[in-house]
Amino acid sequence: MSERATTLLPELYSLEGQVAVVTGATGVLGGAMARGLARAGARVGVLGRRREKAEAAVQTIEADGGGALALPADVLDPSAAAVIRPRSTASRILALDTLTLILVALLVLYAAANRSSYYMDAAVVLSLVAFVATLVLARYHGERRIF
Amino acid sequence: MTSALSLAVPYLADALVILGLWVMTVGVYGVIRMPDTYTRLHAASKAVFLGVISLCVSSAVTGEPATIYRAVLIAAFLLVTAPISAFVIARAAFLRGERMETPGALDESGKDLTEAPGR
Repeated sequence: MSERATTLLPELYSLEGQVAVVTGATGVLGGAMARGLARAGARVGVLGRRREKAEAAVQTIEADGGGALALPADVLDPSAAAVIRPRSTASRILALDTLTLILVALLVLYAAANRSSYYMDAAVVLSLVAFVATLVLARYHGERRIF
Repeated sequence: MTSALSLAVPYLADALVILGLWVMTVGVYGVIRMPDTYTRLHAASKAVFLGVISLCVSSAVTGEPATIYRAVLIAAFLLVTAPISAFVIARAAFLRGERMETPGALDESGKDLTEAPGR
């Protein structure tokens, strides 16, 4: 790439702070696109079937001063969608809710094993707080308001 | 008869603990395995909740009124709040237009949230 293009590109089409995923980035065309996106400031997810080739492409980008992550996956494989597609916020709220329920379960188990009701108090409070937190997070996520 | 029952109670509690842990493990696996929030809610709100209830029942074996009272409180509280939590999360996902990734999913809301044709 010429001197003029390397200075113009970041000014005109800066992708600073953005994330791009290039499928087939281990090939010739995809590789060029991944390097171009990285040069524009994007952090690039390098998607390809073979891990070695994806990591080689990542090293090329990093040597160029860009940020990249190798994502070995086959786009024709439905389970690979989990690698590409991020979890939604609602799913994350659900995960937090589940985690606190598991914590409540552990506290109940510990209280029963140690014959100590103090841990049950903690479990009661935790289940209460978890419920309120889930309610608030979900309402804010869905309606952008809490009350 | 009473002695036979009191002998069986600890084993019953152990069985309930194992059942609870197993149900919760299945629930967490379901959360990881399911493709979208709507189906993940099934695994989380039913399985994990039932697991906690099972553990609460097993804690009755301690025979301490303070522990049993709180176990009943937690179980009753979860019985009321688990459906509400699941509902608000599903509602949030629906309001944000989250798509249904499950093959053959049916959306009757008119927002057409099912997976785009051709997949």
